[in-house]
Amino acid sequence: MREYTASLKREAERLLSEGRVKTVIAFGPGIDPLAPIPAFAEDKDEASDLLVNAFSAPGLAKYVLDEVGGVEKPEHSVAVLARGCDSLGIARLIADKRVQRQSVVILGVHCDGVIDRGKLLALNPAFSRTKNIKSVAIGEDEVFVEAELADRSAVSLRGRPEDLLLDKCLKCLERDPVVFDIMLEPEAGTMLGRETGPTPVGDRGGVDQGEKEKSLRARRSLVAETEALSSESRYEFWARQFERCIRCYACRNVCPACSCRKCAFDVPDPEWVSKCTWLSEQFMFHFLRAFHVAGRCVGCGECERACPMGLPLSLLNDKLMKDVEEMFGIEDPHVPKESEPLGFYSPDDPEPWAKEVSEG
Amino acid sequence: MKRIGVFVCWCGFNISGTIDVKAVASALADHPGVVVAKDYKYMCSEPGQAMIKEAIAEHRLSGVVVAACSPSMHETTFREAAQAAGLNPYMLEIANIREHASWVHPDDKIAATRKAIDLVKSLVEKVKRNEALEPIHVPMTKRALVIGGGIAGMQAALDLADGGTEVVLVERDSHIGGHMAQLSETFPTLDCASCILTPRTAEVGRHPLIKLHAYSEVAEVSGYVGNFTVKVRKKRTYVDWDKCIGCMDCMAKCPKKIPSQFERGLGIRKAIGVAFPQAIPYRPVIDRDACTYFKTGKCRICERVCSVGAIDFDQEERVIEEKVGAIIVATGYDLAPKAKFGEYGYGKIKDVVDGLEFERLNSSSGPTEGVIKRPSDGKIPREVVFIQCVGSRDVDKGNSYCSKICCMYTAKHAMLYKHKVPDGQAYVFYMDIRAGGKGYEEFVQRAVEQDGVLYLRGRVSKVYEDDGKVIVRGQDTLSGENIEIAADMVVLATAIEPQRDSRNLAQILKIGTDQYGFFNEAHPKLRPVESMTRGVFLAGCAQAPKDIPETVAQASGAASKVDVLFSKDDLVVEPLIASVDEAICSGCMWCEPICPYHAIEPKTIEERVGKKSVARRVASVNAGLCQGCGACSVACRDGAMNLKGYTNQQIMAEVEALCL
Amino acid sequence: MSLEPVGDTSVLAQGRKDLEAGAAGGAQEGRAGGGGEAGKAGGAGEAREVGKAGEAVEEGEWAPKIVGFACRWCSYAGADLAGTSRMSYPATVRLLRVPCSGRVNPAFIMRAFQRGADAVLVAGCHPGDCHYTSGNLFARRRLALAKGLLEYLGMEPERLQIHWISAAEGQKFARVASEMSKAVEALGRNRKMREEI
Repeated sequence: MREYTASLKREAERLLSEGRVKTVIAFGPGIDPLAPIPAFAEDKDEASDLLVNAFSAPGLAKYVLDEVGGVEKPEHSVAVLARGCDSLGIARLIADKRVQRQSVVILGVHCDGVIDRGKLLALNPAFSRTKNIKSVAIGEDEVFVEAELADRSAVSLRGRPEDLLLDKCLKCLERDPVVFDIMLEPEAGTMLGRETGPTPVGDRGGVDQGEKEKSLRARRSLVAETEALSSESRYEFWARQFERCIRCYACRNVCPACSCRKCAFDVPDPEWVSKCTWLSEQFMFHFLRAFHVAGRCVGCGECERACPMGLPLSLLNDKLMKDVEEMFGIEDPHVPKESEPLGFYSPDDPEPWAKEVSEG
Repeated sequence: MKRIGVFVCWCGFNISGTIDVKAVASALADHPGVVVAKDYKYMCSEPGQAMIKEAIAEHRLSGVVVAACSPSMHETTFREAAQAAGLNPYMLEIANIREHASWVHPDDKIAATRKAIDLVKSLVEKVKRNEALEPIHVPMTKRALVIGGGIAGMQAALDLADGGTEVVLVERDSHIGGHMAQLSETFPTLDCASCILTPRTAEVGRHPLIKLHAYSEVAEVSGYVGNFTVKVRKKRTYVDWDKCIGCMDCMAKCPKKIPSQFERGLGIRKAIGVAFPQAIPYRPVIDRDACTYFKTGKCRICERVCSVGAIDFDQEERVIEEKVGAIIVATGYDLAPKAKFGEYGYGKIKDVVDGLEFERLNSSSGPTEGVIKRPSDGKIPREVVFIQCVGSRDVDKGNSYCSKICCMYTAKHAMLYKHKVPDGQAYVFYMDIRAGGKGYEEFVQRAVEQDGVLYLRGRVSKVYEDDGKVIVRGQDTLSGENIEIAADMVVLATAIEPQRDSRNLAQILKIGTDQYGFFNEAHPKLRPVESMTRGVFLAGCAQAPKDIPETVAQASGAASKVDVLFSKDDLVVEPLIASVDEAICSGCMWCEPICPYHAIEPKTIEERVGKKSVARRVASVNAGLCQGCGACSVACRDGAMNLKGYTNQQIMAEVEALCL
Repeated sequence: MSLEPVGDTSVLAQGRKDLEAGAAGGAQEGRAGGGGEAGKAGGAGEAREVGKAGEAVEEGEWAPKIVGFACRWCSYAGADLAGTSRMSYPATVRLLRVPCSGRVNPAFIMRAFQRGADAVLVAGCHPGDCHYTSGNLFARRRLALAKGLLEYLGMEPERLQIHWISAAEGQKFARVASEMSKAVEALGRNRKMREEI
């Protein structure tokens, strides 16, 4: 991944000193160098701590809602760092009228993917003692990570993207932001830790249409695989997944399409979903969660990333996205538009139930 | 504490013959919340209703379920009874155990009884969650706006005004009368158009209850049924119509001659003046694009000759505001543009004209004073070819519909031509003849039999000019022969199309259009003069192609719909409408595009958060417009949008009770 | 934000493996509520047992329970017409009156299955004939997605049916009710997504 931190700091400091924004939302160092945390800079000092790197896993879109969302005239504006997936989330919040476009300055940044800390540690537990990330390179077929450990020794790893990147990044739909105000420039030619690092394995560059098509295909084929199972097997499969759900609502909380003031799951009357976690309610919960974002899901994969139980939530979202695309002919179904697929109709909409054949 | 009464009707043997009504009543007696459960032979009879009324009083019932026939039969009866006993009528529900149970399950009494119990329980659970509702009263302005001063708009305006309703009539042109004013004679009676139209235009002009804004356009409409605010843009005439006495000295002295639009370019007019002698209002307009003064800064002859000083070259456009309670849209049609029909030589060959041009050539007040002369050299045509379905029923030209009037007016044209040029020959190329209407078929037969008009079934393949003739090539599909006619003149029955800017007006009025741009009626059969927006009605060709009698009938229909609306003191609305829980609503407004009635709008509310006041957007439902379909409530994820009478809570409770 | 996935992230692959390994038997037994030895959490076993118990209790006298949502203008009136015409159909369908098929929230359908419905019918005016012009057209979109999702979660297609039935089609209503009843009878009692009490 190219180095954008310097450019991020520069823009953040400028926006803050000019008074254009009150807060800049990006990342800051966490306790663990492999897990930067969302950070909120309100002055120059704080801005100098901001960063973005190949371990910046959390999505930032929902923080915009917390800062300036939900009101007609926010008192101030915020700036937010936005990779492709973040920008989709922000666009979602804007399309859902939860955030006003003019109250957010979007600092766009290109992203080649984020390294999955869990996958990395599973491959080489030594990384858990990382003190410093020295070098990262994310290529089309190879990912390279090199770190300096607490005892000053170095450790490095070369692996396939699927073994090292976040699952959501493997089916990335937008590597560049779909909406931005300022596009961050990489440090001229620099890679993270280039001086000491090995020859970079290359840079994946912007996602072209073919790339996106590939990601969409990957998503569709996972859905198709699931569709191909018998009703019974599908039920078994989902029952097994949902049984593990602890109903922590992390999937909802990170979801940029779940921005209601008061979520249906928190409304006591009618009790759409009860607080019980028996299987029937789990099905109701997951059905409703998916259906509530049907046609509005941006495919950012945050729900799946945030799920502590590792439920394959994208597999639900992608099913709906596939149906929206195929049944209603919506192009780029993940990109928020002026009207949502369930907000209009065509007189020729399909009736998939017309030929009802049991496959159970 | 809910106190529900259940009343099970036998309906003689209709219900009790299949369903064990006693068992239903006793099953319900044990149901939580039910304080009384009774059965009776005929619940809808006087004693039956009395039983319900007494029980309401005696048991202080908070809700009632009557298990009987379909709610479409007696829901109103029982609700009135409940109201008479002091219970809000919306606290009563009907469980349909006759049409939906006893009558359809005669062979399985146990199953039918079980089902009846489930249905009643479901309604009991619903009624426990019912809310006392009151009809909603919305005040209204009993004044109507009519857009368009053609025959449709005039008819609607006169009907309303004659009935005592004040009307604001807005006409885009400088005169009223519309296309009908351009016609010579009308089918099937061949009476002269202006003879029947002029008295009407005059009446509109002088009616004390009709306020006419000619040379004006509707710029903006806000509000809703009963309470519209309309902005009317009065275009610049450059003549102060209040001062003007209509002497038309200005028109007489104006040196600038231009092709007259009213005469479809076949005649001329002056840069200042009226379009035709019977124009109402009889007030001149300066054509800014043609006027010598506006072009060169010199002339001002009209100003010099005007004895009352009405000419005002510096006149400004004005926007005035009108408050009305209902709107009738009667903006009429346009003919398909010349550019579309190059293959027929239209727009290229002078002697190829359209129907309206032929009307002007026929009109005794037209450019030829009613003598049919061909435009190129003024000769009287000896052979005239009429071509029907030009741009109608023709997918390639974008109009797959039938323009409906062309068969008739072509027959009329051919007849009129034959009456004026008895030794001439009229040919009509047609696809098939559509002459439905009183006296219409007879009229076409007359053209063929008495006037010797030659009808050729088939399409014209080519029209071209050769040596002063217009050569028409086509095929007679009946005989299979190729035909070539060296005509002197060709008349095209071009398609009726919506006004070019109909979609724009539709947007202003928030009404829908079809794929062509004709305004959509609320229901193709049962509500043909209403639009989807409450309080906006349709008349004439703006809705679909139609002839004069049909237009007039629809206009009168629209006017009487307005009268029905205005006949009450205020607008009374059924309270079964959508409502928003503002505390929950996120203001995402995805409900807005779902509403077919445009009843949902964003609204800003002020809220105290801590010590500060914060403005927040929420959805709001206009009770005057909402019809209670509830489609919005499903678009609402968090349940902020709910439908009274069919709330999420009610339906969920019904579902649960049905499944238990 | 410390909600990073822990441990194995390829749940999908794992789930599939489980299915292949152990659940095939479970599927054949036709049991709902999780099955096979592969269930990772305790819930699976529990649900399975309750499912079995339910089966034992009512096996003999079971008849399908079908919840029907009918729009008041067309389909509810169509069912009325079936009644006035004295057409006979099985007493398995229980209708619930809604103003429009556009009022039917997929959550209502799920709730019906949760509480024990063996099938759900949504009946509305024919497209183009909606009393509110577009309610059923919005419903058609929503239900296309909802039904797809429901089936994707394992529900048999026959258990959620959508039919356009006009006020004049009493016969169609009776036919739909009969056919649906028959189809659901063939499938047997629904246990998927169902609450076991």
